Amino acid sequence: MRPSHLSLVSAGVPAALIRGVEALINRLASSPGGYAHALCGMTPATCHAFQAAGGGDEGRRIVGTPAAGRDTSQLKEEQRQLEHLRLIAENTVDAIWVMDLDMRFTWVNSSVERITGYTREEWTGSRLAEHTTPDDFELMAEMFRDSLDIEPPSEGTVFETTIIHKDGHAVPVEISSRMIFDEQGNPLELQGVTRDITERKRAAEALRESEERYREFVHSANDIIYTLTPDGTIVSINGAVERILGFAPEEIEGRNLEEVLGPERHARAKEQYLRKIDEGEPSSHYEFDLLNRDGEEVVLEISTTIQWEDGEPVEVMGIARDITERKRAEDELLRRTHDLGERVKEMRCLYQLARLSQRDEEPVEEILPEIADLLSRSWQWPEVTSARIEFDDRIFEAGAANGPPVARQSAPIGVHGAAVGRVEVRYHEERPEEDEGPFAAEERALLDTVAVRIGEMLERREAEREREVLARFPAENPRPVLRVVADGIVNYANDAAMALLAELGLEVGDQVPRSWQETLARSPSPSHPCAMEVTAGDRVFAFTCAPVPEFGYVNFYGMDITEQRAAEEALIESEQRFRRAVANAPFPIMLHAAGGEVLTVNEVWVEATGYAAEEIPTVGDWTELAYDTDGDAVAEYVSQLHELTGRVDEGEFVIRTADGDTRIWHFHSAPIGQLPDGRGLAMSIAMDVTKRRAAENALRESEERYRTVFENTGAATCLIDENRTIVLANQGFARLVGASRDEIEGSLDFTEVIAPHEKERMVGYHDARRAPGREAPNRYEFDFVTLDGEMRRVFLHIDVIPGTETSVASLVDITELRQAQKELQVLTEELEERVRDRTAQLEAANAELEAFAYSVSHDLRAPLRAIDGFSQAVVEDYAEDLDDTARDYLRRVRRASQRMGSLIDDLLQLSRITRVELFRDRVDLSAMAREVVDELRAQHPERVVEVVIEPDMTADVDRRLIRTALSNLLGNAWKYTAKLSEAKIEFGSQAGEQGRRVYRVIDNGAGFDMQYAGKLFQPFQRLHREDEFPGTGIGLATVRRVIRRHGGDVWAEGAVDEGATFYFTLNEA
Amino acid sequence: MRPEEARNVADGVILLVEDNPDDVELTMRGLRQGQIANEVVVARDGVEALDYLWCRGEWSERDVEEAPAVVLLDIQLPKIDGLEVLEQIRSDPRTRPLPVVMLTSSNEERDLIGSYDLGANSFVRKPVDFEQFAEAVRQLGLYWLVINEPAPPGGAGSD
Repeated sequence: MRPSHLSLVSAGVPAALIRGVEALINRLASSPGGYAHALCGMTPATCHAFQAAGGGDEGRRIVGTPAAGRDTSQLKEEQRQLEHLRLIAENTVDAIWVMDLDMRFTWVNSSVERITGYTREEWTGSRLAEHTTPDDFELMAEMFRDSLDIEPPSEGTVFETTIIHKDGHAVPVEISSRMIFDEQGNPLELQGVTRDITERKRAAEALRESEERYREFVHSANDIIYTLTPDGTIVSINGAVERILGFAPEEIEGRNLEEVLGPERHARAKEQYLRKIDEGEPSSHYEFDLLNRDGEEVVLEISTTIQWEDGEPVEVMGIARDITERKRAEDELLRRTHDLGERVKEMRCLYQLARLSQRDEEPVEEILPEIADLLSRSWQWPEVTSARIEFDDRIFEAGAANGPPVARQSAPIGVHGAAVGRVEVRYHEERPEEDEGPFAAEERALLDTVAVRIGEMLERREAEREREVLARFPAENPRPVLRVVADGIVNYANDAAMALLAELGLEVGDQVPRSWQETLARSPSPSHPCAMEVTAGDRVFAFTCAPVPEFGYVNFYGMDITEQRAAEEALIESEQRFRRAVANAPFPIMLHAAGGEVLTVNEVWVEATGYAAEEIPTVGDWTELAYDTDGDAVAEYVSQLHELTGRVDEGEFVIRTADGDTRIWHFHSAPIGQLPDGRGLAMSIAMDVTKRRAAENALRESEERYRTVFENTGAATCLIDENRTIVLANQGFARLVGASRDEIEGSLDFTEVIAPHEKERMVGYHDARRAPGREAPNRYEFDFVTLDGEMRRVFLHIDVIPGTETSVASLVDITELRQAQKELQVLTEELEERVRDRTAQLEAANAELEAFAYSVSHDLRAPLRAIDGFSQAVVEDYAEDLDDTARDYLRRVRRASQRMGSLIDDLLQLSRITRVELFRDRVDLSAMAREVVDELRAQHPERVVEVVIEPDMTADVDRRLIRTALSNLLGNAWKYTAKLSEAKIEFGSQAGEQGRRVYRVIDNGAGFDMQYAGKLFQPFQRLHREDEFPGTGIGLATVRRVIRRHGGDVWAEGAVDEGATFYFTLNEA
Repeated sequence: MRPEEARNVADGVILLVEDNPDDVELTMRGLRQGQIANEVVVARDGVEALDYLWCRGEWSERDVEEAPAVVLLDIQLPKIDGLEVLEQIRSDPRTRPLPVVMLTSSNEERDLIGSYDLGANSFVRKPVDFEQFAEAVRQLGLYWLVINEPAPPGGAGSD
């Protein structure tokens, strides 16, 4: 017997087998570390082979093993080794497969079940199209077609797709495949590896989404996000800069801040963040104004963070928020607050002035200093203001007078058109000038009004004196004087009064108008004169009605107050305008007095809060409603406002409206002087910032969310700018690098963590990725070096964020995985080495067996022939000298030698069955059986045997070997039915397990004892005596060997004298 | 080497190349029983067989034109084995037309194929049973010596 253990190193291997092995090697060349299978040459040999990952001839080992059984110990050992190799291949997580050009799988390892749910038996023979959607199948078929054109062919194709799991769900997979070509270059089959990438896809999908979100966040951020070098060069800036400042990011990236801001602002900006650097603070917040592209002022609220390395600032990162609108609104509010404060002061001034000027009984010397004092406190900058009134060569001064005045403004005091003095307001320190100069228009108007009032007061005092004089000398009085007697008849009028009467259409002797009589009816007395006003033409006169009882008439003293009235009306109108300004202001305003009285809340306040003015008569009522439990604290706080001297920014308060909503109000308050009763007056102005806060909160939450996402991508992730600087890194990346994020972000060059031999390649990728029309791989492995110098193997996934020069890189440490693979490879090589040694030993044994079998056929048979031949010669030549016993002995000699010849022939055939190659083709078993039976009938024409053969049984088998087996089985049936007169033989088939056909040969002959069934197929084992049924006992051993070589099995059933049934199966390819 | 029977030039010589004297004797017996009377020349190894055919050594006086009627050639032979003897016969124009019958114990496929590849005219396996063997030898003699028409001397061999 001869084990068919084959190796390329062996001589004398059939050419067909070598071709098979070569095809196998070709196939393996495309499948590093793979497992392949082939049918080679004449005999069915399943070749298992491993090739070291990475390829190379030295890593290639081929070992073939036949499917039929072997029974030497070396073979068993070798099978054990092969089993190890097989286990390694079977336990790879990937499905390894071979597919013919019709997209039908011809082989697959058991991993297919883990991935697809189909067993390898179910999978083998199935079509690719059954396992994919039609679209995916089209795509895959195209990929495979394309692989015909790949040069060199060993490159193969790698792509991702999905396959349908047995339970119906789609499994994402990565397929690496390669077309195998024969020696003539014709495609033979496809071979490939399918990897389940469900987890990887899931992770990649999550990563992609987070990147997208993060990217979206960075790009759609409302704020400008930028980084600067310490000398002010803009490293990166996001798209918001275009919206806010009108500059495209690429326009200003790389430029110095000084170019963008101009020297003056740059100095200011630098001062802002450098001062923080000096102070060692990591971050700062400040407001900064600059000009946009159109030259308009934009105010930014800036938060900067300075990156430090070894105590040196290396980069400034900033977020700049556009607060131009907010600032504008605040400035406007501030201005209006201020204006309103000024107006209120002016009103108060005029009011006080009016009161002072009514104090007629006090001498002018006492009143004028008070007026001066009032003036000095009513001006915009009371702390540097003094007032001076010059009158009648006397000077009255009040207010701060530190040093000489630097600005002054004066107005003349006129009495009856003649200048009698002047009133002057002076500033003693410089104050920022507004457009109109140091004194506002309102102040100039106020000063003029004050001068007029003083003049009027003086005139009135003078007129009073004159009235007393002129009462006695009416004719000399330039002002109208009338005298009215009983019944309201005018009986005297001086010249001025005559003109007035004429204006009214009256003359002396007429009755005075009704309004005059009503005045008279009020019974004035000399100590209590009545007053009334008379309008005549375009003039207005104030009359004092004084009775002169001793003469029985009443004197009317008139005074032209036309100008005075006009000024008063103007004042009233001004006051109303200011009230309207407060009432209609577009933001909530409250005027409140010390002690808590609410003087005014405007419409907006009422609308916004839902509290009517009547509901909040005091600040306490307001705070209780709006602040709930915090009310007392707020009320306390508000009461302190009245002790302040300047405007105060109170910050934000949450208030509750009448319908239960909450709003956020930003309050500014300012004391604006005193009420006439001496109580302090304060104004609180609010700005509703609810929406802005909500937006800011949403933005902050959004920022936090994105940050969290970035942190938890599941991979070490960083953002790399076009200068290869890592601008952002998550914790996973920091761990991989072996440094803190602060040490990495903004300062670490990505090439510092690339092994030296990888740098050139990866820098090339980096540049290519950013160059138009060029591409670079975005998924590959490389050697990574930690900052401690440790080498790690890392899988990198990198993409440039569209529209930017920044790339997002995700790294997965696969060092341990690769190490495990290397160890596996070493183990595999060791095993292969041992298998090869064993193979060589087996080769030697095979060669010996081969030589032995060959010599048996020559050397054993020659002596037998001599024994037989010369025995016959003795019988023939010396017949008469021999008695019957001698002749019988010689016959026995001849029979024994002939039997020995048969045994040798059968043994040689048995060994040949193991040695020859298996050639399968389609064989009609029914026809072959009929031929065998025909031969048997020809050899034994005396026999009457009924033979039934099932028609059309065909199988893919080796024609010659199966003929041997059928000859033996049918020959046995024929032989063991020899003693029956009604012999019957049947050859047919039935369905067996796993869809296999089971063939059977049934006879009704001598049968056998099932007790010995196990011995039937052993060589030389016979269950019948030679004189009963002749035979060598090798026929069934030969049958079993044929069947086993076909991958099938054979067994028998029977009973003594009740016939026998032989069953066999064939592993039909 | 010795002539076993009287020379009969007209009937042609049988060259039996066989190293086993038992097989020589049995073959001769078979021929006798088959009434084959031609001269049988026995060569006991491949060298002797070629010496006879090419008239060398002991046979240098022999006329090369007188080719044997048939060569019965065993495969396993000392010095030069049967397949090589066959190859030499076919490679020489003088001996190329000779009818060569392989007469051997082997029924190995490679011997069968090898013999035909090299131009053997027949391949006969020596049966163990003498009666079958004798019948085979008889039929061989009958066919090659009586029925078969040999190539004309010097004719087919000249090309």
